[in-house]
Amino acid sequence: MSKNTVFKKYSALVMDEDADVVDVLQNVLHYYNRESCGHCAPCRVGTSLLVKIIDRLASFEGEKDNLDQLLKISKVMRDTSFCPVGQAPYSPISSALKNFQDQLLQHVK
Amino acid sequence: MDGEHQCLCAQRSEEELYPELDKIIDEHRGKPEDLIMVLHKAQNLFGYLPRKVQEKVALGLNVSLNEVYGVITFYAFFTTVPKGRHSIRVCLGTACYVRGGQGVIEKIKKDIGIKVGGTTEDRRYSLDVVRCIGACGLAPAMLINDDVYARAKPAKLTEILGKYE
Amino acid sequence: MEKARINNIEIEFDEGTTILDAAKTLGINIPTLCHHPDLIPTGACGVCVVEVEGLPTLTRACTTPLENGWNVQTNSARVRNTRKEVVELIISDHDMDCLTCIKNGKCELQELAANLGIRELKYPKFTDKKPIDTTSFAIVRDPNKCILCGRCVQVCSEIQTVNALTFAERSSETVITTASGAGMGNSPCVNCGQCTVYCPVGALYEKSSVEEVWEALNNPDKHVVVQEAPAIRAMLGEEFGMELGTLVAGKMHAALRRLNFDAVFDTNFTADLTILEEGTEVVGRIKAGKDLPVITSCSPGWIKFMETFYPHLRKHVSTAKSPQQMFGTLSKTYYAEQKGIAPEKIISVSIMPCTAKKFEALRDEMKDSGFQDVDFVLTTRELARMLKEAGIDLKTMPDEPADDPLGEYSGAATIFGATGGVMEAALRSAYFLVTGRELENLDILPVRGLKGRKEAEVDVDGIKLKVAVAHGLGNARKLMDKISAQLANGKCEYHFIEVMACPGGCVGGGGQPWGSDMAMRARRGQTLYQEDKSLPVRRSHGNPSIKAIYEKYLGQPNSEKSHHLLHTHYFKRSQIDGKVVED
Repeated sequence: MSKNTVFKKYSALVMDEDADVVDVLQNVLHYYNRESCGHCAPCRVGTSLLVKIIDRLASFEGEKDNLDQLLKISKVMRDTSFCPVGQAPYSPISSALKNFQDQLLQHVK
Repeated sequence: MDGEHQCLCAQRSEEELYPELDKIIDEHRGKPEDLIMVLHKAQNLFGYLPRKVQEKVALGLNVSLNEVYGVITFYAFFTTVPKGRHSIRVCLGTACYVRGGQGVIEKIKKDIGIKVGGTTEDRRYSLDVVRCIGACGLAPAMLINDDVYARAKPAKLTEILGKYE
Repeated sequence: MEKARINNIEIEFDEGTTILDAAKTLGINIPTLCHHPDLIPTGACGVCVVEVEGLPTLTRACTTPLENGWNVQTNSARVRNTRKEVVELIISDHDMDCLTCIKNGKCELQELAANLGIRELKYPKFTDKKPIDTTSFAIVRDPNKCILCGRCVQVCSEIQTVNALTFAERSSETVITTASGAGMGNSPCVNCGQCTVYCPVGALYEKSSVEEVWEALNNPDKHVVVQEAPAIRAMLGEEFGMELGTLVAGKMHAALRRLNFDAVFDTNFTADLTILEEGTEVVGRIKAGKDLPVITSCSPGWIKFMETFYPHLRKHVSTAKSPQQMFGTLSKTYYAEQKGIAPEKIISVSIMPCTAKKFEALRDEMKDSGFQDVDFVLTTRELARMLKEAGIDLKTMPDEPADDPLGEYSGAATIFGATGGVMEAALRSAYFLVTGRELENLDILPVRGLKGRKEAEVDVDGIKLKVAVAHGLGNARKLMDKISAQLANGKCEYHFIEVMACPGGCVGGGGQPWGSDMAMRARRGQTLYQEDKSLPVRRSHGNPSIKAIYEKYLGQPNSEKSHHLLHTHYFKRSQIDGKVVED
């Protein structure tokens, strides 16, 4: 292995069926919100809105629009944020919507 | 490190610490690039960064007080609130979060009447959130000083907290 | 030369040119929000994104240098949609009371939203209402309007080197504030107001005295007099859609009469008087070799900066009050006496391109008339608002002169409004004061223009006077550091120094029309030099009304009476909160 080798880091999270994808998303989005340095508008405003929306879903007060909003906001963030923090939420949001849409819809009023 | 500043605050009044702060500042006088290092040392000394310490650091290193304030409020490590005798740290890493860490926090907040990052008026407790303490298998986990509490349940918390005078 | 394509148009460019600037040369305007031509781009807002073929995410045009072979699209569907969505995100946390906002019609965010065709508010506000900072005598800060573009922080720290404003906290809580949130009035802020000029929205603006002035004008028991700074005549027209750089001195006097001021005077009169007082002081100190160099005192932002960061240089600063304060004192002494009006009935109003003048007027020591010498200070913007409220269109006004005895002025006075102008005016009279002869070539070109620091050597009958001019407090700081070091070594090379707090001098003041940049400041300065050239009297000591006030009232420059009424003293201030401290 040369000293110039760069390790790419991956991580996996294993959970049983009891775990709710909204809980998981809520934790992840709060994490990115907290880590946002606040410098660039797309990430600062984007993560702030994402946690606001996911919190509503988590308390079963979400609206159907909210799922679309999560995707739309995180996509703008991916395209325009300065650093990987703001670019990151798109990936968990889009895969949650793709694979766990039923669970997400249960949180809609 | 925690133990170190705890014993300092407990034994000496803040006024007695200022000559030591002056010594630290003297080593970095006129060097704005040392700001974070000096703030680090100052917080180890005082346990937190009161306004007077911020002012002395600003004048000593030749940076504006605003810059000092900006740095302190940006980094989670720095605090302008004095720490309590007992530091409660609840884990909100993904595993602890999914297993009810937030409920633990809510119960503690209600019990001792402070927000995350705060200190009780009698300086008995301070409450912080940590991200993963490497005890995911014991989720939700909590630390009080150096004691680890595994599978913390809100119902048991009042009793646990009572042990720390 | 490098080559690339923007919107399929081929472009040759120098290495390092940003996409934004390169596009501009093709006549392609990329919308921006946080970007300002006078400031280093930071890319905070994300509005200027463009699509570069082959790159996965969008690219910021303001901070990204164009590269050889790139193919850039500034208006693709992806770019237009994303740009719009970024603005939708930004306005989601912005107070949307546009109709009652001070920036209504002049807001860069409002204009951007209009241009991009934003028609709905998609997202809820996520921050709580924050208190408005009214701790300063000069500047109000409304964090609810702030979009965190950072222009104010940049101008305060990088250009002015005052560091009164900072970013604090992080994430959703990110704010622009002062240390401990203590407020601008409890910070080292020098009230220069450059932050109010660069703010794209209504988050920073002057503390208004418009209502107080209306009240005074409507009070039949009060005799309300007004003075206008030199720079006003070069910028007020812009507020009424007149071409940049239009000289409106006569129209301005007429418009003020129609607002019902009882007497319309001109700060230019006391600018001439300042030259006599300050010039005499400079000549005296050069002859005696005492406390050199002498530094000018007209700019109140500079004065507070000096008191805060260079208090050891206080004895070098001329004791002459600024023209505004000289006028205030004389309006309630000389003028009151001449007209037989009780001074307590006089309300003295000034129109200034400046926010620091508001602070200066409220200084405790500025009461030599026995009353507060200047009662109310209005910025250019506030006067424009009053005129519009009264339905007075400056464009249609006739040209009228100012009233006597505080209205006549020379060309030397009018150039006070541009950087280097005070120096040039002072040299015109200093030459006469030293030699008894008139300086023949009145245009002292090395001290003109927008170079940050300017120097000149002037031969006055064998004495070589070395002078320096600095504008913008960052430039002033560099010059003061140099002088401090020279003085510490025993000898300073300069005799006389002019400092103006604002880049460009008063034509670039914190009270100038919104939306200004350095190029506009330069153009206004030229207008003042043109007026100077067109006036029959171009030397302050040649102004007949100045001769009259010395004959009738003051005696001579630096007389005891002058010293009592027209001179002041300075304090030492804390770098922590800007308050006066003991030596």
